[in-house]
Amino acid sequence: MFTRLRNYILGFLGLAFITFPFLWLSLKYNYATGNVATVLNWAHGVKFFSNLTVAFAIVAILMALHYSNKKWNWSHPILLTLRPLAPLVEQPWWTPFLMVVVLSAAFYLDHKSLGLGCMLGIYMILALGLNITIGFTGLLVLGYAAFYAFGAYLFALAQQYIPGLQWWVAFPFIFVLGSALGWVIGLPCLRLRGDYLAIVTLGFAESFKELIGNLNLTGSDIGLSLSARSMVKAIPGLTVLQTTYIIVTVFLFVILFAIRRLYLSPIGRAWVAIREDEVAANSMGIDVVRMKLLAFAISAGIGAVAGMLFILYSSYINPATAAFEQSVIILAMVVLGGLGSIYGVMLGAALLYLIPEFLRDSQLIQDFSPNFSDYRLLIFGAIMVAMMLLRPQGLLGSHRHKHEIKRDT
Amino acid sequence: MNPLLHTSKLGKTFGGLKAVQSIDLSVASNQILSIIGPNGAGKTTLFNCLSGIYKPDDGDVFFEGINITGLKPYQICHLGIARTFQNIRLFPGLSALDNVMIGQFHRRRLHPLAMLFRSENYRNEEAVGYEAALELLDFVGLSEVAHTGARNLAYGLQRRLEIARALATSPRVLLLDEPAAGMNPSEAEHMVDLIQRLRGRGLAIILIEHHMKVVMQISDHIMVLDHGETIATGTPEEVRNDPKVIAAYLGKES
Repeated sequence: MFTRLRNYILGFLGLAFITFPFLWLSLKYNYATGNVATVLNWAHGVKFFSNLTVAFAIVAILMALHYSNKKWNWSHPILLTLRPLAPLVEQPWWTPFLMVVVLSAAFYLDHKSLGLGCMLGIYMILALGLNITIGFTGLLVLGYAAFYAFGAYLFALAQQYIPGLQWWVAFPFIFVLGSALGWVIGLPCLRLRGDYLAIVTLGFAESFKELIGNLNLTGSDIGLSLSARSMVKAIPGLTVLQTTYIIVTVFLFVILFAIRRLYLSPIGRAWVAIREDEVAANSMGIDVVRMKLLAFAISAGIGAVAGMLFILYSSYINPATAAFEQSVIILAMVVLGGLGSIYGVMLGAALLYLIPEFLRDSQLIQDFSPNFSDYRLLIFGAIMVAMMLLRPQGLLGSHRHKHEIKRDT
Repeated sequence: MNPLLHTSKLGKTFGGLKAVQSIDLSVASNQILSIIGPNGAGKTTLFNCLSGIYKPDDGDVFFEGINITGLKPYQICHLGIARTFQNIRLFPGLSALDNVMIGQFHRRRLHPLAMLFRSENYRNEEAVGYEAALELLDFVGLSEVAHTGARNLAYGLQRRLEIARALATSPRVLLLDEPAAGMNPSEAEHMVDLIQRLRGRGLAIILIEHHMKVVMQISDHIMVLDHGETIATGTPEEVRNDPKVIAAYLGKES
């Protein structure tokens, strides 16, 4: 207990020590230019560069989190010289510090970056949710966006019938109803083997999209728009967007925490056992259908909560949210990052969401090809094929590290 | 002695093929029953019927006097019948230790909130499970590779790990499907020793094996199958001299 606390304090001080010069420099620079608000944009005017810096920082942080979970081979020649750092690296001591940094980004990010941050958080939640079924349990779900859209529409509709409904009242219901929907969809097909689930979920997502695109209740093709101000009560002193960013971030942390704990528990072990060998898992006393349904329901519930967060952020929803393209992007995030790797799928979400956004911003790309974003899916496809050939386990999903489900009780 | 597990007139057909028919077997604790027979005699089908992977078409399976015919594999496992597989079916991506801990699954209380907040009880259970798994690995002689991925274990060790994983479900009956298959004489000798020690734990063991040396050394009873039917039962001595058995293995004298 005390060693842990000591590690946290040491880590906090260490990171503060390392980052202080940079913070100080950037603040000084921004004061000098009269721009106090943007610390992370200290490379003022070279926005693309600074965006890339943030993206690199996100990637580095997620990779570090991923590898801090593993046993490091310190006798490796490259790591030998870094050996004195071993106690610092092997403890995820900087987790609380990171949480503070990410949360406080609400204060120093500009309006546009906050928007990106919100969507990134939502995509990370989606990737984490989908990872439960595909990564842990090995169930291929092709229509995950349907649960996302379900949660979003549920919240949007509830807003219309119960004016002033707050997210903290709504989210337990959305989670439970989303899970229930997942349960109902999963019940008939999880008893079967193989790819039936993929087909059923795909069909469900398509018919759900058609349904909401044709019902007057859901605003048909136009969708529903709401007022962000009525949904999100801004924290005093902050804007609505800053508050939304904080809400999304807190949800991301809580979901990350919960999924990590479940993954390390007997339930997580049972899920992985089902992925590795279903027949053996059944013979070892695991009720395969029940555990699969549990995974599927939790995953669907998380998707629905992400949908609610999306409404809080965008205050607008249309049937395109449930489109197949959306499901594929989330799937691509999970596959790219590494099936079954918690930080890996977050990395996948960061890469696949931020890179196209930055490329869209970049003047260079704009000059080169004005409608670059049209080629997004083509590039996704190319990346997926390359990944399958070169690194089928994903960026951070190395099997070598996956042997032991780490336990820290 | 009261049998722990017994069957009456057990049968299973695939289309027109009678894979096993009218099998009556019984095994009590501390006993080893071996099932031998030529390839395709229906030995593994019989195991699949006992462990619930197949649903028998005829007859019944009784465990401690309760009819367990047609129960799901996990239910049968909960009752106390564990098995290993002829073609090793470990969880290849997990460590040896995690493989064994998965075997403890049904004895764990699954309270999601306790897991999320790591309640005192949950942490204790997890620690006890961890120790128990290490102990089992030690029992089968795998304590040194506890943290190695099952995929990377040598073949003989994988067979032992399967036994440890089956033991983790705290069974009373253990079904071993060719535990010594593909082993050299000294490895097979070790396996015999392990099976003897298993019997010492009070387990009832049903064993499918082709190594005659192993079978003759450790069995209390032997049952010989051919074309899905029992052609002989008895002590090793009786079976060895049974003309029907000799005919099944070596062909009839003409």
